[in-house]
Amino acid sequence: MRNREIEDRLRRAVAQSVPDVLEGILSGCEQKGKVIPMQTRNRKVNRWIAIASAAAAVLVLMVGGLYGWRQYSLYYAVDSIIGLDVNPGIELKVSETERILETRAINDDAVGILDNMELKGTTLDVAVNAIIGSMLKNGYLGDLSNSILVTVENQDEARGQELQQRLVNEIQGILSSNALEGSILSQTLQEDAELQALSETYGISMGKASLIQSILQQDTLHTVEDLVGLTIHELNLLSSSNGVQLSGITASGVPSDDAYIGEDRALQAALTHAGLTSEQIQLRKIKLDWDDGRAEYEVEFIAGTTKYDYDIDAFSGQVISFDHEAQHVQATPYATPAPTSTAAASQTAAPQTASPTPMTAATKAPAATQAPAASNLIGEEKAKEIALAHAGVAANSATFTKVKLDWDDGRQKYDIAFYSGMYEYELEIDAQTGAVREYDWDAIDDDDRHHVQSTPKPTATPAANSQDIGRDRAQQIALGHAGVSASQVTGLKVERDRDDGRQVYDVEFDVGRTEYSYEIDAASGNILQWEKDVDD
Amino acid sequence: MLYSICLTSQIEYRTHRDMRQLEEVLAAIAHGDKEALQHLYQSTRTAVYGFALSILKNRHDAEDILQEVYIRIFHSSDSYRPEGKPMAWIFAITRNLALMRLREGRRYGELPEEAWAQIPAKDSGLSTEDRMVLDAAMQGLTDEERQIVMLHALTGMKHREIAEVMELALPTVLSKYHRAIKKMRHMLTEGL
Repeated sequence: MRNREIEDRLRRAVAQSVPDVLEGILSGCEQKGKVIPMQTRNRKVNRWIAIASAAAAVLVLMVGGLYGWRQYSLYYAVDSIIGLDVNPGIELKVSETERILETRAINDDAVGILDNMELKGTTLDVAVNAIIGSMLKNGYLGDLSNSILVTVENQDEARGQELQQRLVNEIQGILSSNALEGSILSQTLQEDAELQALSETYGISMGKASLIQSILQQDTLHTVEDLVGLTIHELNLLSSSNGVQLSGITASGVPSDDAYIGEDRALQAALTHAGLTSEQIQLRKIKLDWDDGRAEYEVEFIAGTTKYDYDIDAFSGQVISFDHEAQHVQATPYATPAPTSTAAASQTAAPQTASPTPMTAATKAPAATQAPAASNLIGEEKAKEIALAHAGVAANSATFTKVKLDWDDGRQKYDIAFYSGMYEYELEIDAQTGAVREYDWDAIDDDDRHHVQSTPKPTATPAANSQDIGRDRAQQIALGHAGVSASQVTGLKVERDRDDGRQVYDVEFDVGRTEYSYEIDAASGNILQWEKDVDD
Repeated sequence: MLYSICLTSQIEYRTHRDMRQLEEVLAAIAHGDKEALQHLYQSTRTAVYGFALSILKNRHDAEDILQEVYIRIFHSSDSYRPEGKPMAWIFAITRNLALMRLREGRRYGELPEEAWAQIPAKDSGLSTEDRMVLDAAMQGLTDEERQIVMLHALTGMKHREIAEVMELALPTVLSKYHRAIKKMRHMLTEGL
């Protein structure tokens, strides 16, 4: 009997044996505020009387309550939830008459903003004025940080949008009167379980969760974790610097980058460090990004046959990290990202020529002259073969998580990682000789044959480029991990689900008397959790 | 209110929409709305009863606790803080009341351990197979195993959420759950 069948039967059995105690509950609730001791053993004596009185009570409540209910809805029921996010995140629950029913501070900064403000009962425009005024006064909004996100949650979309527009106008007016050109992002949201989960998981507002989700729809290089710690202004800058078109979000004004050194100075800092001039390079990328909450410019350019990557501190102009990498004739997809067509052409034409650029002593990568011809390399397949043989693992039971050609101490090597059964293996294989240079293995966390990972570990797929790997890929990952083919399994089931704000695929199948179940991240293909149960 | 349209339907414990709606229901109950209480009862009683039963192993006591839980909710729903986890709150009340009942029972030296077996099969309409599964859960599992399996089966809650409700570590919940299912499978194939 499968787990699910056992649970289904259990659920049915309880559902059919649960007694009906509603009458006892209703009579027990007669006096609010006072718990009435239960006369459980005598309940049946008064059964019909209790049913009749309970039914009568419900009827009276239903008929007599209609007028009262409308009045209640108008003045006390939550009609809209307004989110104001800068870094302080504030949520206002508002009645249909636009009175504040409740204010909520989403984060510590907001606690300071709302401190000593008694907004309950005031009108929405008064509350918004007070909050924006306090944000200006406390320096959360100013010339260096001029972004604000306005979110209206209302089940009536038209009403929500109308309110959104009014709030944007109102806030623009307040900022203008303080001589500030604001950049206002605004949106109207309806019920959305995914967003709700995201906001709960990370302790952020629904509005910010929606903004992050919107950015991640186009920006596959970042994860939710990368973005939750950023302020609205930083998110606004990140999306504008990366050319992200925010769907469902209306943007007005330009986010100020006055707090940072700017792209030109960032490029200059990188060029100075590399000992190059702007005439000698072909610029491939320059953009503002955040790494561990630190703002940095990512600068990438090519000079001759060398690719330069720099991370420049966006405040100070200091070089945070850099990498100079020689380009090769037959660069594998793992070795470097595909170069632009012009750059590729020049590298192909003269792969062995020395870099025309002076390399500094601190350069991590060797100069192009050191690069061996690609034909000298053993190749990925051979490297994988060597790795498996060294670990004593059969090819059909291994799932590779990394095969990457890289440089180390002037030599090329393959970094290889895979797992098999309950073990993870990592090896470094000399790319020319095939010698194993480093070998390490570790047991995957095991608890009674159930594998649970607190943080996602990589699986066979490299970071996915799309938001969803698809059912087939999820199935493939699970089968690959279990080391079986589709033809060997029965009862295969792939379902898309949501867990902790994350889209996942639940994959289940049987191999003989063994049940497998997997939870796979729908965006990255990472195996989040898997279980194997032998029916013995 | 939204809840009036699904007065008798069972809720999906894992959908945020339903959890939000339950929070609205709790807010209405805090204003003394008995219709809302009735809705809450109809949509959650199986899970509450099952959980109480898994702690008490006695259907009479579970029945009392079932009643007591909703009365308690009616009187204290204004203390519920909407954080998206209304069911965790309700299960915490259930657990506390059931444990209190257990302590009282021990103090007065009552409770025949297998009171569960007294369930009148003819009244319940249970199929033999379903009844066997319930019996296996009631008789063959440790207290924690039974509570975990019951919450998982009745609510579809994730092991992580069950760990929160039961105040246990996730790996503990996972291993106990699987051990419990295995035991039940064994009992059902080999006989109780």
